[in-house]
Amino acid sequence: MSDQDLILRVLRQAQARIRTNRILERLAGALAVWTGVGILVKLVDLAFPFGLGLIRFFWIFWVAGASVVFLWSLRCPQDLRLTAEAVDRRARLDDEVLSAWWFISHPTRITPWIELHVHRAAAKIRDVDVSALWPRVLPRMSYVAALGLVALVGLHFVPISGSPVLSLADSASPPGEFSEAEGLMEEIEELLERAEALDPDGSLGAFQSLMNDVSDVDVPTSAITSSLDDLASSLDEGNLTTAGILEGLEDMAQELMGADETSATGEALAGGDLGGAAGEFDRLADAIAVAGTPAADVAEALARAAGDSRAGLEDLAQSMSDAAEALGRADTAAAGESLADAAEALRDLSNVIESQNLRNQASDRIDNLQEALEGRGAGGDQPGQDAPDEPQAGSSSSSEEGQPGGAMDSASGESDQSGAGESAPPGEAQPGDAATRQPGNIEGAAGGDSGLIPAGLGFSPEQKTGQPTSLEVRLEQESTEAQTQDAERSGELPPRQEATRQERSRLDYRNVPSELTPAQQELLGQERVPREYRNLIRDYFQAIRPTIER
Amino acid sequence: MIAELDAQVALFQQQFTLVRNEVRKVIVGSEEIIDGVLMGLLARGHVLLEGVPGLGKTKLVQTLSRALHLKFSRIQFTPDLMPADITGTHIVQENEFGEKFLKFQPGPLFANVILADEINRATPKTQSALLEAMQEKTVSVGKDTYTLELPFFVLATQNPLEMEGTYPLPEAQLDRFFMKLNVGYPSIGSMHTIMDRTTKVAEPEPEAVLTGQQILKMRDTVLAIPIARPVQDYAVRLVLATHPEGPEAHPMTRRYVRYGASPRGAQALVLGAKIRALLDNRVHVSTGDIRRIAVPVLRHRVLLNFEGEAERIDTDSILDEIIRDTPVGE
Repeated sequence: MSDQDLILRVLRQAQARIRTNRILERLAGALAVWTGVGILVKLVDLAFPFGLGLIRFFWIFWVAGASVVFLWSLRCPQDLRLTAEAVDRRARLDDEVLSAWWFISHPTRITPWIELHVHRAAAKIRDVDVSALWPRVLPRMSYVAALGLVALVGLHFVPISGSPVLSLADSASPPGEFSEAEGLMEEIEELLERAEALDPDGSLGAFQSLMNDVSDVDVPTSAITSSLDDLASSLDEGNLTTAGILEGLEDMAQELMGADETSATGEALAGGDLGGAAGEFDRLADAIAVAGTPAADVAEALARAAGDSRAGLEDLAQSMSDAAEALGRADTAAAGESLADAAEALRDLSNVIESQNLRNQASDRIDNLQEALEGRGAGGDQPGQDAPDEPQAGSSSSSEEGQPGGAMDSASGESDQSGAGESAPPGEAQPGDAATRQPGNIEGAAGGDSGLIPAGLGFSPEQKTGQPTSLEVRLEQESTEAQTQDAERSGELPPRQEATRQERSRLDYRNVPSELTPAQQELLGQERVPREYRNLIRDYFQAIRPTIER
Repeated sequence: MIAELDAQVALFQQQFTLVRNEVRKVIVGSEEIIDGVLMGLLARGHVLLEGVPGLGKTKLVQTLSRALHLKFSRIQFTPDLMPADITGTHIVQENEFGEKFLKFQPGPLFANVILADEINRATPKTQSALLEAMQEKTVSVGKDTYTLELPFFVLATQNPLEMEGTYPLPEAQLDRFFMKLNVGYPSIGSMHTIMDRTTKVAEPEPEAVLTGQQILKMRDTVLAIPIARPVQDYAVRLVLATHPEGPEAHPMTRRYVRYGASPRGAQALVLGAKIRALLDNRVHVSTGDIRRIAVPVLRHRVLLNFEGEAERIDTDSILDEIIRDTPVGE
């Protein structure tokens, strides 16, 4: 091997070693910077959670940028001149290799003196150990990079999250808030499960999907609360149909009470006891099968009741109509079957109403959950945040509205305002909330609930009974009861009291639906709807809702 | 062939060392000054020695001339010294027939080693007469031009303290000097040695160890040493860094320098670096060689501006900054 070849070979060896070491150093450096920025982003993300899209964009941008810079730095290999300079520096050769390389690469200038120089340089470079001059060692930055990686991975598993729900546990607020939100979610899920078992409508699946979003740190709180709003609205939408069913059942009850054999059924219906009414139908069917065709007024009562058909009552009305026709034909077997179908339809209606009741309760708890999440999103605890769950001592206007006869209208008015004052401070009179969330003033209503009484419809016996909530009404009621007792003792019932009793609504005021659905209320509450048109729109909504005949 | 060149390098080192050791017999300390003077001799240049009186400048030159088999002359520059006094003149002579004719009588410049003592005391006219001899190695008297014998080597001295009544050397003449060496005070040890040697009956006497031909041969060896372009590029960049108007100018240069070094300065850098390489038994020039001789080679070629003079900026410090800040590689 000539002197020139030897010098070039050693230079290329050194070049390869320098390049490798440089790649390692830059890789470690890039990794260190990469992890450093990652840690910074993670810390900021923990304090001020980013959206998923922003995080994805950042990471893609950062990884792509770092890769481009890294590859660009590798693209330019170090030329042999720089390598020769590096060899001279490390081996202390006083530019001997650099000069030799230059003369080799410019052969037109070769002279005996240059040959002597190259010969000497080759003799010296032969003893140069490239691996000793550039040993393979881990770059210092690799330790920094490793430390950064460990920190980044550690931060990833830190139990701090941008999730609005999980963040409740990490904030400085009392730990009760977190358990409250969790408890609310569990409670809502249980209510919806029960409602789904009675009358499936898919709301349980929607809620569970929403809860998955809640646990996802990337979904902002505003989106979750908005989705909860939508879910609550969809849950409340069944109230209108249920109200129509209840009104229709009440009308049917009045008709059924027109005949002796069906009066028990009518009374049970009027009392909201659909199961009892169904049993009465079954008993009537059995009686017909045993005793034969009943009196003609039974068929008439059934026919009249079936004539007041409304949305949701089609099956019941059809069954009663069939029964009336069968009785008219003296076909007791067919009449019995139709009555049995009517009983079954009543049981189905009972399920529908009960499930709507459960959904109303779930809707209320969703409101509470929204408050909890919004309170968290606002970054602080508000004094009135827990107010809806606390008993309120102040007397409210709804107390007076609970008096007999005025229950339906007053309760409807209250429902219009429900939700609007939920975040008000404790002690402030709030008609909607006070009516639905004052267990101390509602007898039996809080029996199965944890102090929360849902607005809207309810048809269970423990909910439809309740005491008036003001002294004035209570005194009037006691006076009426005293007069009634006196009249009963004297054998006559005062016509005024009888008329009052006849006209008194059997629907508990707390279970009267709002005149407007939540969706309609939300629409009216939107800023884009001019205020001067709101009354007009409200009138329109009231006009298109099913007629309630008192 | 390689062996012959190796031997030539070895001979160069040997002869240089011989002369140096002979000079050191008389001159104590001042190794850098001795080496500088010898480098100037071998680089075909001339050396300007600057120092206060009594530091042995004249003694150094006298000793050097004795160590060489060369003709030595000393010119004491004074304000009334005329050019003809150094170049020589035509004098009227008579032959055996009584005819008169003009004959050129060579002046003290017609020697191999010239000591121009206190050169800044002569008038510019006389200094200019020396200028031609230094650069062209010729002397013009009347219509005749006389070639000086090689090697021709001028060692000029000047006193930096007594500036009154002096004629500072013009830039063109300063540039003719290969190096400007500042002769400093000897150390305590050197002083003791000087006392011991010069206050006795028998002073050490140098022997002539080198002929003119050998010096010329050594000069050829110096010129043969190759220099790679990257190293030469470094020398060029150093010189360009002393130019205040150039793009390569150093910030200190821009602020304090009026004129920078000429291409002759770059030539001197390369030649001096080659001698340094040979003395280090190398046949290639390194950037380290250039750095080592840069200050004595360039210090008299960098002229300060008014601000530099007013702030008493030392050109050596400017050059140190330039050397420090000029990168070796591209």
